[in-house]
Amino acid sequence: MTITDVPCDNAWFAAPFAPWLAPSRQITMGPVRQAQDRPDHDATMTQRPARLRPSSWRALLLVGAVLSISRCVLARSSPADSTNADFFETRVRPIFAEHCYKCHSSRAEKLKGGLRLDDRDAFAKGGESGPEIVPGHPENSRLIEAIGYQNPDLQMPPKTRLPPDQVADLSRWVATGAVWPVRLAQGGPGTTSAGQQPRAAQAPAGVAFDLQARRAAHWAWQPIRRVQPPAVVHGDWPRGPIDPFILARLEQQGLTPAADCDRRTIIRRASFVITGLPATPQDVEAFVADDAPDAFAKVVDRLLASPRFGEHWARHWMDLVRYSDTLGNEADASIPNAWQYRDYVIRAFNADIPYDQFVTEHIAGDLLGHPRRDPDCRSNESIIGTGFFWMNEGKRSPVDVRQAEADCFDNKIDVLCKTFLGLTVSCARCHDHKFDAITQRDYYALYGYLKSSRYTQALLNRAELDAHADELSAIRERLRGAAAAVLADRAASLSSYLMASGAQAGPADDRLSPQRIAQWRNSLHAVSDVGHPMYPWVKMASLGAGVSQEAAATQWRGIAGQVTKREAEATASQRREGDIELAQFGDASSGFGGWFVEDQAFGPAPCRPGDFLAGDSPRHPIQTLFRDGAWAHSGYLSRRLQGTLRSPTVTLDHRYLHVFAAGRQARVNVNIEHFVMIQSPLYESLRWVVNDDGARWHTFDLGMWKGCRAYIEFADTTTPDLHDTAPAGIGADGYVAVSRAVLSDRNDPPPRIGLPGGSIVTGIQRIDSLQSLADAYQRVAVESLQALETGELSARPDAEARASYLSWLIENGLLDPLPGAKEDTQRLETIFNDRRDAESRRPEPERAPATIDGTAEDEHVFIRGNHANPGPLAPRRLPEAIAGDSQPPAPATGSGRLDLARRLLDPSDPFVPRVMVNRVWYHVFGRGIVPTVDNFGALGEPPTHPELLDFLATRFVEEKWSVKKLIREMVLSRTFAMSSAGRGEADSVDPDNRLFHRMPVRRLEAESIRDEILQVSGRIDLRMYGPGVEVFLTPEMQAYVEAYGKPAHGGPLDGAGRRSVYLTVRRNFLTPMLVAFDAPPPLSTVGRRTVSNVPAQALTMMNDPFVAEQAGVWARSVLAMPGLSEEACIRRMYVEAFARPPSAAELSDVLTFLDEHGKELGVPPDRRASDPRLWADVAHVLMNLKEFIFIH
Amino acid sequence: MHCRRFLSAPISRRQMLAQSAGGFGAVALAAMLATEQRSSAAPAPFAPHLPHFPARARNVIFLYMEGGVSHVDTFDPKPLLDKENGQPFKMKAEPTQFNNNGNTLASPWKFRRYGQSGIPVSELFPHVAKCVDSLSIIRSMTSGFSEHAAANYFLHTGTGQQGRPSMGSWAAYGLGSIGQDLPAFIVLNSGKMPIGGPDNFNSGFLPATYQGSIFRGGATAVANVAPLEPRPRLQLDKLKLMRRLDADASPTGEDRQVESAIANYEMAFRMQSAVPDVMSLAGESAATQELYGIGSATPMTRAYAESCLRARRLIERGVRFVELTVPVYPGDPDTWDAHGNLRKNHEANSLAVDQPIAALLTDLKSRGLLDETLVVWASEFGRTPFAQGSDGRDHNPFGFTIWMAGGGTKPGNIYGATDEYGYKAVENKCEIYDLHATMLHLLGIDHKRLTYRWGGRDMRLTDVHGEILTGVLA
Repeated sequence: MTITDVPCDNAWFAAPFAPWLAPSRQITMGPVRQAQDRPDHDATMTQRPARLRPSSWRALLLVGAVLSISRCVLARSSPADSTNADFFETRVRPIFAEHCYKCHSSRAEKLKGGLRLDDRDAFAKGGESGPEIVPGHPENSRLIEAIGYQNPDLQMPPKTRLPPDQVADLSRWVATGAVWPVRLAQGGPGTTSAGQQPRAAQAPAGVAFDLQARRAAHWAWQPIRRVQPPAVVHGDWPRGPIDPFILARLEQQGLTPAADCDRRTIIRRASFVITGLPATPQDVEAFVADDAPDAFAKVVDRLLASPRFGEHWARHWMDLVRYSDTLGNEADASIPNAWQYRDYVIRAFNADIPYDQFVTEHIAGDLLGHPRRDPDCRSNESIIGTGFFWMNEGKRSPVDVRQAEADCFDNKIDVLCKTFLGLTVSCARCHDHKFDAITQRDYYALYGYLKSSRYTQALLNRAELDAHADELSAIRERLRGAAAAVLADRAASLSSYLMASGAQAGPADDRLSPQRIAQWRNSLHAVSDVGHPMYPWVKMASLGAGVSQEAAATQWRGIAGQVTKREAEATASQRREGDIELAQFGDASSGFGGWFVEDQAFGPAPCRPGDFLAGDSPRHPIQTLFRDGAWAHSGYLSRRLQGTLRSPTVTLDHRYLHVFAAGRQARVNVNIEHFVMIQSPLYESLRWVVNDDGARWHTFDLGMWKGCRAYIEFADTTTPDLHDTAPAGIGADGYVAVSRAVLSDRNDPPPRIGLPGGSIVTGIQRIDSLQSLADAYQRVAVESLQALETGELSARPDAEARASYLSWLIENGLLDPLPGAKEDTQRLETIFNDRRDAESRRPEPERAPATIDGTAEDEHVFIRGNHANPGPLAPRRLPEAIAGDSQPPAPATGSGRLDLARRLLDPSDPFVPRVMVNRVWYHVFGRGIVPTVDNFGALGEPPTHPELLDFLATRFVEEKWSVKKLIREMVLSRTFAMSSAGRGEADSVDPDNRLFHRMPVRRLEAESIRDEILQVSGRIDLRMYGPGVEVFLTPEMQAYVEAYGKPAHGGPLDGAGRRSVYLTVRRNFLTPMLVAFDAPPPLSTVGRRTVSNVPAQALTMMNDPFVAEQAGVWARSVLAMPGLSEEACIRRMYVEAFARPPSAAELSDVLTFLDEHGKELGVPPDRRASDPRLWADVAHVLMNLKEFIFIH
Repeated sequence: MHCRRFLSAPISRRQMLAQSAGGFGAVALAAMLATEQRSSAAPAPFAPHLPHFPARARNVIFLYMEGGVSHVDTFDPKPLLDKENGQPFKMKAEPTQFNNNGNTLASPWKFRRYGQSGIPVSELFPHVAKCVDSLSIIRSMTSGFSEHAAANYFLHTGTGQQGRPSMGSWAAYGLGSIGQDLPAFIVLNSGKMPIGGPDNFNSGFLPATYQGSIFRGGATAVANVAPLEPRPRLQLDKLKLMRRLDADASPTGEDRQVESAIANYEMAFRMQSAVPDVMSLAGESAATQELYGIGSATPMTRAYAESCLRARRLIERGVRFVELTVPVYPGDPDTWDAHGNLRKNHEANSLAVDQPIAALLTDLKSRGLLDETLVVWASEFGRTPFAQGSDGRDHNPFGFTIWMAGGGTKPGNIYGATDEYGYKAVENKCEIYDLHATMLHLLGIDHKRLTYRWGGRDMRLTDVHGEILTGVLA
């Protein structure tokens, strides 16, 4: 290290590293020879400061800068450093000017990254990412990294790499201390630096962002006011509390509301608005004939009570959460069981679940103490709501998995905030919101909730399966007692056999079984390791019969010493330096030591040494005992149970993960940065399919993902991952057992030295003969089995050694029934029968995509939205402008989503009720009170009737968030009853109908058009729920290759007659007819659909085989009605399609058509009334009428 | 009553333009965002709009080389690869899609200089090489994504995520259509639907009016364009009744939406004949067919030749933006995606497109159309200069080649450069945003002013990015 005295002002950059120095002189760390003397830049750049090796130069800069910048920059350039100053002026500043000033100077059209290279002090401060250089250390300087073009995320100038000589000059400049002479003309040095924070953590420099001012200036942030309906002139017009609000505004403009529409119009309108289907002829005629004053109210109540209501309004909701059955992108992989979410929404609307409950379930349905249960099947409804988080596009095999996570979370935040809050929070991903009172910190505060949550396929019928597991658990306890008792009986002759196995001659006791003796001999023959439980016996027996007591005692002491030594080795081997043990089940006082367990298979706690694994028959009632530490075992009750075990989230600071596990048909995944689509290329190595009963190490090489956050998932379930390519070898009745998971820098797994089993006898005081040792072995066996019987064995401190001993006996068949022995096994028979019976009654697990808690984590603000450039931490909370700046911190464990939901629904948050009543209003009246239903922010449109909005929001909350009551109130208003007919004067005063002076004419939504066709034709199949009907593959869709997600078999042309809400939504294979009529791509929240008018719509109605087919079905169904004349047929069809009879002109037009078209088709006049082809054409024409697809 | 709206005879181009300029055709295609746009007085969105400034190009033909053409094997020769062939790659390799990086891999093909410009082209493109004096080659393109689907979306929509408007949709939104019996944005499917699916061509949050219509080969090129009725008269009967009943039900002019929907049938009806007409190559001379390679013995070449010739016919009829997907040989959907066996892959794919592309350029030029037609040849990314395994190349978004021709681009031009291995762009580095900005610029559109409000923002094809590549402008 060279230490050179440098005049203060030229070395001010170095000051942060030397805050302890006197203010008048500075020492530059690192080589500060004159640049011209040092042509060898590489050498310069690779040297490091000797005195201080900062692990985080940023942090030091921060501290140092505050301490010393203000003092040292006051000095001026001295002649002694003129060479450096010249270098800056002649070589450095020109480069800045030529390549950088366009974006990084006062004359930049838009200052990029908050960084200026034309001002000494501003440069010292740095940009949004902090200081750009560390004087003397080009290798630690962002500026040099950027011009070096080695980091793809950080390359400057952005378009063209600097020539090598300029790169060298800048590196040299930094290496030699980054001298930047002060120009007196700049207005005096140092005047701006004092007290400045070196790093701007908040808004980008130059952008004025005043949260409170923005909050105060915009209507939507203001509390909901309690308002009364206004006074009106025409007091006889209003029918309910909504109407005065509408009428008052009209009267202000000198307008009157439109006349009431006729009954046929309003029942068709109400039917489509509430159920998405046309009114049936019977309902129309009944209503028309009903003179009761509440005739319409009865219709509305009937429609609201119809299951069709939930189907229709669920579809509205699905637009908000970008519902899809697949992930799109390259492979369009399935989201398994996504349809459960669709059904959940349908049920929720039909049951009129209070909206606040519905919101809570979406955000935190998995965390409710008492989840809502389906009244019929008692399955968990609440948790299904959280599935909406997972309906985002899923990238296959991302090269940058953190970027993929950031993009995916961005979509989730966007959907969350638009759907529930009507706010575009995701605009604040890269910077504070341009228009709204939303900071970038607000965005990353929400990010933390997602980061602390995980994907799962939640078990819906958990209660049922819990009960089943309890039953199996009880059977296992019965088995424990019975089996241990039987084995203890069998161990009663252990000592004799042990002695007999060592005898040279024949058995001393002819009642002993020669076979069993041979079995003992063979088993003991294999014993050689000092750790073996029988090692003391084998060693003692090897002395032979005639040994002296003294020699035996010496031998015994030797054996005991060996065992003790092995004990110490085994204990020491448990930890390897530098390794991180992730699974410490044995150390956990209870449960799984911070791991996350789902479903029943793993039970309430890991299996500890000394616990048992059930056998399969009275002959082998116990398969073995757990040893070598505690095991999380998903088959300990039954292989039929399913379960998932996930580790806490950890940072991958080590390259390797070693897992010690056994299993069958199970898998172990490493999920990195929430990426769960484990498949090739790139990700297949993150899955291990376990198919080996012998436990072994498996090593994951995680070198590609160093520094990422990850968790390990052990899954014993057929539930697929978040895509449908379930790996081969995974089955329903497998298990997985794991005892260790170790992060390590070494690619070899940690050594495993087991505790010596011989300690069960070496601690015994007096062993003076083989017989006494044999007796000891028998005593230990019997005692241990008795302890197992009472469930105390695993609590014993020597449980490990005892388990290893008993396991050896059991696994070698030494506790099998003796040949010819008579045992009473009735009790065991019964238990095993009960067990088989219980296993066969396992309820089928029902699952749905859902969210569950993982490790609690906050995220940093990503500067300019770049995940590689983290800024300050943004603790989890709601946006400040909604819930204030002193929100209680998120809980230390778990995601805190339940808290989030409660804050969203706090009465102080005006958004949730306003946004929802506005959505409902939009669907009922065709236009929102706030027309931009997903954006209540500054770029949205303001409410046309703000008082009405607040009135409805207040009422909504008071009426316990009942959506049905809200709709009922709206539909029964007089406003809803207005005619849609054009009104010359009113239309010119209020051309956009913003004041609702009449009912707008609306085109039906895509799904309603298709459903209407099916209903009118009679083909409709009103079955509800279940997996979606596969999309029909048109010739265009057939052209797509299967590898990219095309379903192997397309569905039927008519979608099996099911309502459109039950058609599978495949992102890459959307139903063309629905797309043509503006069904939105499942991208983000779409609260208001586009209504377009494109030729594809006309072509669909004219030429699509589906429409033509249904026209034929309709014609045949009408012709099949007995005794209808031509005219009656036409009337019937008109009522079915339009809820009204045809006019005389219409009737005559159709009759003329029958005549002319019949001739053209060659239909004889007498067959005209019954020719299906001719009538199919009539039906087809009626379906093509505009009235068919518009609501008046 | 004669139904005058359904014309059974094709109308002339002049008639069409007259109609579209202010008349019924434009109204027919108006997208309606509920009713609140009624007073906005904006011109009907599908009618031809005036550009922001004089346009250099009237139409775009986008030759999409899906899968990722290897630039170092086609238009960006790198002698250093020959020199270091088989040696460990000397630059630091970024993460790749397959993480199976091999050694430096020389190009199996030789390069020669062509034309007056002397631009080198490899032997994979002998026909295009002869047109090299018309090309403006950008050797420094970059993308933000290493994965097909994301990179495809990025190239098409300026976003690496699904569901945003395609560049053709933006062009249609900005400029409308010229003809009124065909959509403004047409995708000619030569065989391969790209990875990521139809969302490469969707209108996203823009009205569906601007969605790319995917045409297949043959008479039923468009979904539902073929009438169900075996004879035109039978359909006309039905349409006539429809017209009458619509009129009976709602007096003309009562509701603009309903009127528009009625009028929409007019265009649909015309498309029924216009589409088969434009897709049919029967009227093309034998010489023209020969030029394109219609008679080629290779089915892939034939398929692409037909697409190229149809592209010309479409722009002649005023279609604003035509995109061509690549053909595919049966059983191998990988197109240019040569993760292994680079030689076989690139030879098959270049054989398919080389002659048809050269013919398209030649044909456009000879008809005087190249000046007003911007032809763009581009992949979603390039390929690595080092091998994947032993004989493939992995995806490389850090530097690759695309080219443009006609439409106001500078002919015989090379712009930008990659490093000496062809790994990363180092000179005049371009982004996809810049490509989009430049394409819009040539169409007379300021990319910063072509916006659509959605999700609380004024969305742009170029997001907050994009610089016009002045170096490729004539």
